[in-house]
Amino acid sequence: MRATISTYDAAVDAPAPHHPVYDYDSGPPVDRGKFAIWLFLATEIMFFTGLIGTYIVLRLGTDTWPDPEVRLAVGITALNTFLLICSSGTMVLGVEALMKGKQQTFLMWHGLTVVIGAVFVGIQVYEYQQLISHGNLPNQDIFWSTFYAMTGFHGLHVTAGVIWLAVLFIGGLMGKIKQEQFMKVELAGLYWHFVDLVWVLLFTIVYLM
Amino acid sequence: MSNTHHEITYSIKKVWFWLFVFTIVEVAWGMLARDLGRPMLWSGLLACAVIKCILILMYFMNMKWEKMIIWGMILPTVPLIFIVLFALMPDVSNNQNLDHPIGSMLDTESGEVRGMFEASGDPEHGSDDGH
Repeated sequence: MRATISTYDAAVDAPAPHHPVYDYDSGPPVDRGKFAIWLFLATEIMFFTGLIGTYIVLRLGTDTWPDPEVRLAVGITALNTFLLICSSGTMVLGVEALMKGKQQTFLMWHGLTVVIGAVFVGIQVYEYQQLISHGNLPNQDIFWSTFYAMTGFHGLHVTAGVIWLAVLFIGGLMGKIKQEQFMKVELAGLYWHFVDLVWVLLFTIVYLM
Repeated sequence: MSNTHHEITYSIKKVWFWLFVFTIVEVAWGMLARDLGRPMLWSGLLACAVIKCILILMYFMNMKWEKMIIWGMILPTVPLIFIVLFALMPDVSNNQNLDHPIGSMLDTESGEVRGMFEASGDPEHGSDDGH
């Protein structure tokens, strides 16, 4: 059965006689995109639970554990944490501006979110480069293997988020993302906030505890 | 599409401010409370982290205003998190009885199994018991 939005052929598109016709929307009582992104985020929660849970179990299983404050640059990572939290704030400000139809304000806040996200990834790459140059490879010991596994997968998520937000930003510049399409930005924002939330936990568990 | 449209009714800057404050408090606690013992250190850090997560989840991710169907997707992950942790715990509880306990490393030259962080002589290695 084929149909286009503009042409409705009753002979082709009308429901079959035995097919029930509902007078209500049988879909979920929320936006389908939002439903899908939350379902995806639920799986992401379990993904990071596997990583963090394994770290906790491995950590509790060892008699000694290196002091992360000595091995890792806590100061610059605290700054990175602050940046990511700021990017969540700019993300919400961007969505709010788009909801109100303020296109330029949306582009400003959203663009800032992309830049901050890229800076976060850049700082993490610099941190990795410094650690690796000092011989701290994932295969050195259990501290480094868990460190790279957790922060690496999170870094990949942030990178994916930056790309997603950048695509929306370009769409906004080209006039394809306007007030009516705010949900597209809001869904990306949900993912971005989730990535921020995970980092809050990772920073605490890996860098401070 | 607009069935979930809602205005942002909270102060974004206020939430932002408290996230900033708790990050500062957390880092300061992580540096200053190391001598208070691991329970105090960890509980303080986790309290700050959980508060920040709740702020992000409830306000930035709009969960405060979401319908039960969204909560219904997220809440089941909470018991699942604990199931994963408890499923992994037997490895730790039986750790000392294993030939190669978690955190151990096989010395290929001597054939001895020693603690991962024991023999390197690196002063950076702290002890979980020490916190």
